[in-house]
Amino acid sequence: MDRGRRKLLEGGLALGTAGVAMACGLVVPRRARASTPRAGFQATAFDQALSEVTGGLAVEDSARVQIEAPEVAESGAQVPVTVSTDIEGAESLCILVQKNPRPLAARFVLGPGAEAYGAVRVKMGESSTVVATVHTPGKVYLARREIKVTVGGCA
Amino acid sequence: MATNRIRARMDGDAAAVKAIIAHPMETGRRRDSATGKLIPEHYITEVLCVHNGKTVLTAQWGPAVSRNPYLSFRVRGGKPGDRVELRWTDSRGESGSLSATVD
Repeated sequence: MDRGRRKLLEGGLALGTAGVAMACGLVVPRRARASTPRAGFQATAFDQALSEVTGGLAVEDSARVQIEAPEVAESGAQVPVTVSTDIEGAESLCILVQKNPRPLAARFVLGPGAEAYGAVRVKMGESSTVVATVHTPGKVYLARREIKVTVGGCA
Repeated sequence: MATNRIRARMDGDAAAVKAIIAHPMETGRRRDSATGKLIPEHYITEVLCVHNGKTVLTAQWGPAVSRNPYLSFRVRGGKPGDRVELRWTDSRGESGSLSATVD
C-alpha cells in the first residue's frame, strides 16, 4: 500500500475540516479575535464574556494580578475597583462582575507610557465575584475577589 | 448632576490622574418611576487618556460603570506641567473632554 499517499490524504482531510470550521466562524484566528474592539461587552453570560475577553488564549490564575476593592460595599451603585499588575508585557486589563447582566464592565488598553493600572467604580446588582484579567500577547492572567453588596446597584 | 473633575499629581515617578466625568451612565434596564417606561441606554463607551498630545491609555466601558464615572490611571515618566486630557464618547455618539496640568 502507498503509505505516503495515505498520509497526504489524511493531512488534506484534517486541513479541509479546519478550513471549513474557520469559514463558518467556529474557529477564529487568535490574534484577530483578541484584538476585536469591544469584544465581550455585549455578552450577557459570564462564561461567554470571559471567553470573548480571553480570545482563546491560555488563562492562568495569578497572585500578581492585584484587585483592590472593598470586601463589603454598602451600595452596589458605586463599588470602587482598582486593578494593577507587575506582569511584564501587559497590554490590557479587564474588570468583570460575574453576576451582572452584562459582566464585562471595563477594559483598559495600555499604550506606551501607561502603568499597568486602572481604577473605576462599577455597578453591582448583587454580591458577586469580581474578576480581573491581565492580557499579554501569549497569555491571560486572572484574579478573583468576592465583594458583598448590601444594597444592589441596578447593574 | 455632578460636575466634571480632574486632577493630576505626581506620585513617585508617575503622574497619577483621577477624574470624575458627569454622565448618567444609563444601562437601558432601569425604569422611569413616573411613567414605568424603560430609560434608554446612554453610557460612555470609550475614554481616550491623552498625555502631552499622545494617547497613553484607552478605557472601554460597558453600562456597568457607575453613574458620574470615576477613572484613575498612571502615566510613567509624567512631569509637573504636563498636559493630561480625557476625551470620552458615549453610546449616543455624544462626546466631551476634560483636561488638567500635572501638579
